[in-house]
Parts: sequence; C-alpha cells; structure tokens
Amino acid sequence: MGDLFANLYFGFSVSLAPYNLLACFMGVFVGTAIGVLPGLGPVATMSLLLPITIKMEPTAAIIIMAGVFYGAMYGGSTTSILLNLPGEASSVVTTLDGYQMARQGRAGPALAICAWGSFIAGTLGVLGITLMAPALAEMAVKIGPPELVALLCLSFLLVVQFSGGSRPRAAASALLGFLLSTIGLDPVESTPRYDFGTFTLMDGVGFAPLVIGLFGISEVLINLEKSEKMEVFKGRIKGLWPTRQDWRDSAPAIGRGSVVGFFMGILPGMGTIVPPFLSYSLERRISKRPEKFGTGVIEGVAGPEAANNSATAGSMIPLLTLGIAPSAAVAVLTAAFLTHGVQPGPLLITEHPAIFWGVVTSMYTGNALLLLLNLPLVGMWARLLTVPYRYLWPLILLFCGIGAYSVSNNPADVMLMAVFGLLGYMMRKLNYPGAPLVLAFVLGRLFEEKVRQSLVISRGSYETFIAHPLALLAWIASAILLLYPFFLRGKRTTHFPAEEEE
Amino acid sequence: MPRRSLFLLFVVALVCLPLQSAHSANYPSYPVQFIISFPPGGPGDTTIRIIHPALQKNFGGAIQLVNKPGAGGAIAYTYVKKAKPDGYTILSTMSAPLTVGTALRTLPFALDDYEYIGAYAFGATGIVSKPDKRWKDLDGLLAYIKKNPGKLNYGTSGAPTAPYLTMAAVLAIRDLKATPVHYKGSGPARNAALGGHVDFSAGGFGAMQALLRAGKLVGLAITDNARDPKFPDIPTLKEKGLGRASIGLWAGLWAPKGTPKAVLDKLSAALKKTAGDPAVVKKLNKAGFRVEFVDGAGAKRLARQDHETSREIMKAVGIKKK
Repeated sequence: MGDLFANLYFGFSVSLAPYNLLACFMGVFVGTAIGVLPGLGPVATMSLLLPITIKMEPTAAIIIMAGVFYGAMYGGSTTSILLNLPGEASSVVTTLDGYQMARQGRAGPALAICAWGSFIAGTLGVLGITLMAPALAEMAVKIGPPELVALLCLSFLLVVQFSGGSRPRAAASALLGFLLSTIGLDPVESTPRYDFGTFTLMDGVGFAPLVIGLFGISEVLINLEKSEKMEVFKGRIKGLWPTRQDWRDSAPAIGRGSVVGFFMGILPGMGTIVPPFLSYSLERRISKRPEKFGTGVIEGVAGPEAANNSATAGSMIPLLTLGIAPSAAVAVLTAAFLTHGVQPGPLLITEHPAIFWGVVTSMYTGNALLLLLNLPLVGMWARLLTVPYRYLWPLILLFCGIGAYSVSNNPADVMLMAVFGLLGYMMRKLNYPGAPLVLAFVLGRLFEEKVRQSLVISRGSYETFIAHPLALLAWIASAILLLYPFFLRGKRTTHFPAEEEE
Repeated sequence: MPRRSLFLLFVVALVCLPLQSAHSANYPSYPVQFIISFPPGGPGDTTIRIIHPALQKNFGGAIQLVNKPGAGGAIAYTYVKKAKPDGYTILSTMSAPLTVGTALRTLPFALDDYEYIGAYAFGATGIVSKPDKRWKDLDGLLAYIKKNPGKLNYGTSGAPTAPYLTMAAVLAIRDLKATPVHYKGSGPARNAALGGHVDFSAGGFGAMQALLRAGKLVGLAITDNARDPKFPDIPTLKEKGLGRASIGLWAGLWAPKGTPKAVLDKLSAALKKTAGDPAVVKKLNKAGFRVEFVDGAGAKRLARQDHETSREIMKAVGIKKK
C-alpha cells in the first residue's frame, strides 16, 4: 500500500507538471468538443491528432490522446439529451430518457447529472486501474470464446427487456440488427456474404453509418415534416441543476453503472457501446417505477452515462498491462505509444514508470477538469434549445455526413448512412425502436465469431458451452432472467397500487 | 460585379491547380496524399506514422496520411490504382493485400498495376505458445503434434492472412495435422494463446514482442530471413529447413501505374534517406520491425516471390482461390 502511494505521488508529480497538465486540458477539451458533435468520434479525432502529438514528449502525447478518448464520453450525452441525436455511439441509450427530460424542460438537470455521473464513474474507473489493473487483465485474457458466448447471451437477455414499448416490435428490430450483422466476410473462414460484390459491404455494414443514419438522419427527417416552428419544448426551462430528489434517484444508478461499465470495458469487443445498454436495463429491472422508463426518469440517464465512462477506464487496463487493444479507440492509443518508441505491455510499468503512472494519474486530473469544463456549459447547452430548428438541421446533417465519412474516408459510407436514415425514418413512423437493432448488431457479430471459434476448438461438441464454470454461471443467470418475470408477475400487481397511494 | 469576378477567379484557380502541378519540375507543389489500407493503429498504419515526420523532411513537401481501410486493403489498393498517376496519390501500406490477397481472392488489382517506390520495414510471422507447454521449441512442438495428430488447436490472425498460410505450410511440409482457429488479427490470436484457449498461435511478430519480452509467451520461430537481434534465441523457419513456408510481410510505397519516373525517384530517395535515420530505425525496431531499404525494382521482386510462395502453399495445403 505504501508503494501505491509513492507511485501515485510520483505519477501526480509527472501529470501535474505544467506542460502535462496543459496537455491533459487540451485532450479533454477536444474530447468534449468532438463528443458533442454528432458523428465525429474519438477514433477519427485521435488519428488526426497523432501527427501533431509526435513532436511532443511521449507522456504528454499519451495524456492528450487518452484525454480525447474519455473526454468524448462526457460530450456524447449533450446532443442525445437536447436533440435526440447521440453524439457518440455510446450515448444511444441516453436519448431514451434524456430527450424526454429535455422536452419537459429538464435539460439542465439531465446534462448536469451526466457530467457528475461521468465524473464519479470516471474517477472510480481510474481507481480500479490503480488498484487492480494487472490482476484484472490476466483474468480477462482467461475468458475464452465459450465463456464469451454465454456472457453475450446474458447481456442480450438483460437488454431485450428494456425497450419500454411493444415487445414484438423490439424483437423485430433486434432481428433486423442480427441480420445486418451477418453482412460481410464471415468471421472465421472470411467468405464474403451479402456484399453485392462491393468492397464497402465486404467488411460488413459500418457501425458509424448505421448509428448516424438510424438516429441522426431519421431525427432530422421526422422533425422537418413537423410544422416549421419546431421546438423541442415550449415553456420555461425548469431549473438547471438536479434537485435533491434527482440526486437520490441517480446516485445508486451511477454507482451500479460504474461497476457494470468498468468490468464490461475490460472484455474484448464490448467497448463502450454495450455497457450503457446493460446499465439501462439493469436500472429498469430493479427500479420501483419501471413503467416510467422512457418518459424522462433521471436514473435512466445517470446509469448509462456512468457506464460508458467507467468502460473507457476498464478498456485501458488490457492496453496498459498486456498491450492488448479491446476496441478501435484503444488501438489508436496503442499506435500513439508505438510512434513514440514505447511498447505498451507487461513491462510498461517497470520500463516507463513515468508514462504509466503519469497517464493513470492524469486521468484523475482529466476527469476533474472535465467536470469543471462541463458544468458551466450546462446553461449554454440548455439555451441551445431556443435556437430555431431551421438553423440547426443543416448543421446536424453536415456533421452527420462528416462523421460517416471520416471513419474510413469512404464516400460509400455516406450513401450507406443515407439508406439507414430512411430505414430509421420508416422505423420511427411505424413505432419500431432503433436501440435494439444497434445492440443486436454489435452483439451479433461478436456472438457469431465466438460461437464458431468455440465449436472449432471443441471439434463441434456443444458441451464446451457449459464446460467452463464462468459460462455455466452465465447460463444459469440467463435462465433465471428468463423465468424471473413469471415469478414476479403475481407479486408486482399486489405491490404497486399500494405504493402509488403514498 | 467585382465580387462575382473574384469568385470566378477563385474557381479558375481551383481548376488550374492540378493542371499546373502535372509538371513534375516543381513537384510537389501541394500536399501529397499517402493512402493507408489499414485503420489507425493497424500494422501498416503504425510504420508510416513512425517515419512520417522524417520522411516529410527528406521529401521536402507536405505528406498527408489518409486511412482508407476495408475489405482487407482492397478499398485502398483500388483507389490508388484508379488515381491520377501524377505523384499526388501514393499507396503506403503492407505488402500482404497485394501479394497474399491476390493469390487467395479474385481482386480487381494485380502486382503489375503499380509502380514500386520501395520497401522499408520488414515484419515477420511469429509462432508462439505459453511457457508451461510440453514443448520448449519448434521441434518439440512438431514432434508433439506428430504423436497427437489432429488434437492441437492453433490461433491464426485470420483465414486470408500470411501467418495462417505459413503455419499451414509448416504443417503440410512435415505432413502433420492441427486445427486452425481463425481470429480477427494478430492481437486476438496472441491473446488466445496467452489465455490458453489454443495450444499455440501464428500471427504478426510485432504484436507478440511485448509479451515475449515479459516471458508470458515463448517464441518458437519467426519467418524473417535472419534472427531478430532483440530475440536471438528464436530461430527462423529457414534454419529449420522450412524456408518454403516463409512469406514476407513488409511495408512499402506504391504509386499508380504511369507515374513519372522523376516523381518515383524523388520519393524513393527520400524513403532511402529516412530508412537510414538511426532515430527512425530505433522506433521501428521497438514497434517490432526490421529496417532495411529496398528500392523499387527490389520490392517488385520481393512481391512476386511472396505471391508465388503464397500460391504454392495454397496448392500444397489445398486452399482454393475464392
């Protein structure tokens, strides 16, 4: 323990040096900005920053890049709440209750709780890195394809329940997501499927065009057909800050979201996209008012936003301790290390202690800076709603286009975005939720890959899926989840009216 | 209407810009785009980003790095093939999509569709396993597979990649059987070996090095022509009489067919000078690459050789072109 404090002290002496502190501020500032802009994501931004940072000291360069990565998670919620338009893929879930809050004039509290939730989760996540990084990384590597299959199945079951509306419609939307995830080279033998002979579809549907089209473009289309004086809400903005009751509702959600996000972030492939979904469904599951979810409950905003922040911290663990990149954004961070002649991995902490502890401690500082940066902005963002929509929508379209293009610099992705924009529009018109599609799309790809790898390793024996204790545990949990509503049904109906009388 | 004429002037200037630059005498008169066929952070991306500042200086002009990943590199290769051969669109990537990719698949580009500027960084396929296995080296592993035919699994960086072809060829040459489990890239394949999900793995050597140095993995063999000075204990396949399984993995620069020779020479000279810069060499070594400058003609020979090797391996192993 004494060692730990010595290391932290050493780390802070590095990260609080004026130059590194400035780098940290630059990073989180840029991160917030691109997080707010729909479409522009951390991956594209970090790769644009790489050539700029190459002239800097390695520690400062990594600090600035990491700042962009977790800073983006703060900004991502802003447009989700204000415009029903996820600024980052990780903020898709935030649209569900965040936007409803904005329509009720509660954009301020929603934004503020996002900033606080992100800060708490981010700090808890870094604390997690500080205390248990090496042990956790070793454990994450032990989770093989069969265990992942079970975990993915559990995740999916957890999330399926969350879309408040019609179950069959949510299921149909998820099914479409699964089908879309089968487009492109198959994950094991690399045989092209449903790509119509085009290179763009050979790697499958791009995630950015899908999400930006489905949510961004469709939102603009829906709004444009409403009357010209479209406004998110009419009336006065009711208070900018969360009330005491808001805090009471959100605090446990933030805590749970932080834990879920942190551990999911360590797993390969989950990234920062799946954890918010899980957090949301978890909150809805254990809430005393699940039927209110989707109508603007604050814990439905706080939990997921906490989850995506602690997930960024979690996904740094495999990188810092094993040199493994669990997501695309972390892969760019790996490149940042390598371009400075530093090899991330088990030896990082002994060979470059200044970089390791400097970067880790800069994340504490960065989260504090982000809070200071984002809280004063809440008032400004909330006022954005008073800008007439006719000025907003061309800008939104522009950023959507840039966002879809900038991931692979492929013009065809912009076309793809337009197609998904139309699909999203139709789905909205017919009342099909978009979130299950996105989640099924992400999980589907990973699920197929892991099922097939498991079966190759086990020579086609399905026993492999229950042979591992962790997998078995996940299956049992899944079974309980499936049966749980049947047990609860009787209890709920007797319980609820009594509570409402209070 | 002065405003309108100003606008017209601007349009004319825009139109003339590329025309003017076609004269290679004042090349480069605006930034040259380097197209990278990998996403940011990929192997062919890291190499060019490491040499970028020095290359830009030696070249004497601005170089823009543009990632166009997708379809195993096919998007970038096709883009550059169709680009104007004026020296402003250059392909900067790893050789594998061109050499191995065109052997495995029917693709709308071929070895002869490009001018070769040069190669500068050489990677290798590494075969690794955990230190607690029954075998200590490649011979031990191959002997163990012989005693347990078809029992072992090995991770690969993907079905259409050189490490898989190399490992399949090693097994075919010795008439052994083990089951490949394809992962998405060298990183996941290495993790599969590290986590004990497969018995050993074949993937890009660069991705293995951090864990090899930490002793968490053991290197059994690499495909390069000579041993890596950082890992003098890891033998090459050539030493083991398995040189036929080696496919080169190198980073280079290509231009569209018909690019003026003066342009190619200028880029080649800048690349040669950069590859001789000790600071650049050190960084590339750290990232897991051996640095050696090979000129355009030499790179073309290497590409042809790797392509032929890939086709021979496919024939020997029984992999059909898709």
